[in-house]
Amino acid sequence: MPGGVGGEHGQSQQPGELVELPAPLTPPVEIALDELEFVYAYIFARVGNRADAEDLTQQVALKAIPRLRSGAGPAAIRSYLFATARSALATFWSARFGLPVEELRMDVSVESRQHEPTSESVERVDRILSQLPANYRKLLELRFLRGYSLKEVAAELGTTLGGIKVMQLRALRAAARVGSND
Amino acid sequence: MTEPREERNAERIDRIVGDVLAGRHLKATPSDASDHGAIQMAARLAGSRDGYPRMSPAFRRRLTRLLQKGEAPEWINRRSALVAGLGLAAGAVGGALATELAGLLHPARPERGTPERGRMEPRAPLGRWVDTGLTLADLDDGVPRRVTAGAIGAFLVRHGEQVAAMSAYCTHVPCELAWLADRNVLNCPCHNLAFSVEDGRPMSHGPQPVPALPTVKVRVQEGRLEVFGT
Repeated sequence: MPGGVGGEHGQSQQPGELVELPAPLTPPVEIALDELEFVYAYIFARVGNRADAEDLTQQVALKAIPRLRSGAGPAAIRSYLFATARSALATFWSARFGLPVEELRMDVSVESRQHEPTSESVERVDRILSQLPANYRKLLELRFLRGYSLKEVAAELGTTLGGIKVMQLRALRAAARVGSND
Repeated sequence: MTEPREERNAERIDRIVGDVLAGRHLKATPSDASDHGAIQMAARLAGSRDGYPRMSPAFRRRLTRLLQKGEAPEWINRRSALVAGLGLAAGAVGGALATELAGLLHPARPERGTPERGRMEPRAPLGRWVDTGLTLADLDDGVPRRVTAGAIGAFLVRHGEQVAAMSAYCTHVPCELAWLADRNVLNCPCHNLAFSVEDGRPMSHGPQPVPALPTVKVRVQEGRLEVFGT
């Protein structure tokens, strides 16, 4: 190539001659990032916070690298990413509570890509809430779904801050019992 | 009737809930094991509150760098590396991980300095604030909007209640950039170079590093967005 532009480092450039730049993203990375968006949503729906969801998603991405290098297709990448995500979630909860995975009842089923990964999760939450006593349901809806502070929830339900904390614990335990049978 | 022990548990669980709802790490420990069901349910409920959660642009960029080049040492922590099975000591993560990732898609390139970001601003006698006809409400968060202020072409990008403006022209060759919604980048059609919507940083390099997109002055005047142009 005249002047040596367009490729190797350290070669001279001719004024006015354009260089070929690489594409911003190459297809395997694009595929992995698209799938990791789904993985992130899947994980977020189960840990409920961005910090842990990002940590776990990056773990999944790290694990996936050898598969990407092997030139696996989109279906294989997707399958591997979600299997890795399930494993990462199991390890996450197991490490937090110091319990073996088998003792933790976890919903780690994988929704297909054709469906919104969180829609099933939202439906499940609605189903669980609908089976709770009205006061528990209202507390959890205000606190978790509508963003009320505990003080605001206490005011809304006409009780004290200390009382609402205990009620929150009881409501979560009740929801967990319902969820374990769901 | 509430017992002191239940009150203590309720306090403890509420601290965990507060962290999760604030987007912070879930800080449960083995001492919380008896309430693991309640804590996992709290996480479930918190995880359903935002509809369809998406990665933040910053996190997506970090993942992109990891997958593309292995530029990970500053954000890969020891726990992630170990859980991922890389078996790396924290201090060795940078080099070892880079080696692991090198050749994934591109041959690794030596780090080179990127020129500093400039500002695009007309000379004083010519410069004037130009009403774009837009208000903040006309902009979707993180979605660039192309505007013209005389000789200045810019993209406005809203970040919450703030708005940033950057040049609409590639810093490599003066081609007009286009926003690619599927990648959320500003793309140069001449050489396929991509710039970050967030900060105008080039997201891919050719043989020569190129500067980030220059900033353009923008302000809100009586609710309308004005760009300093000609």
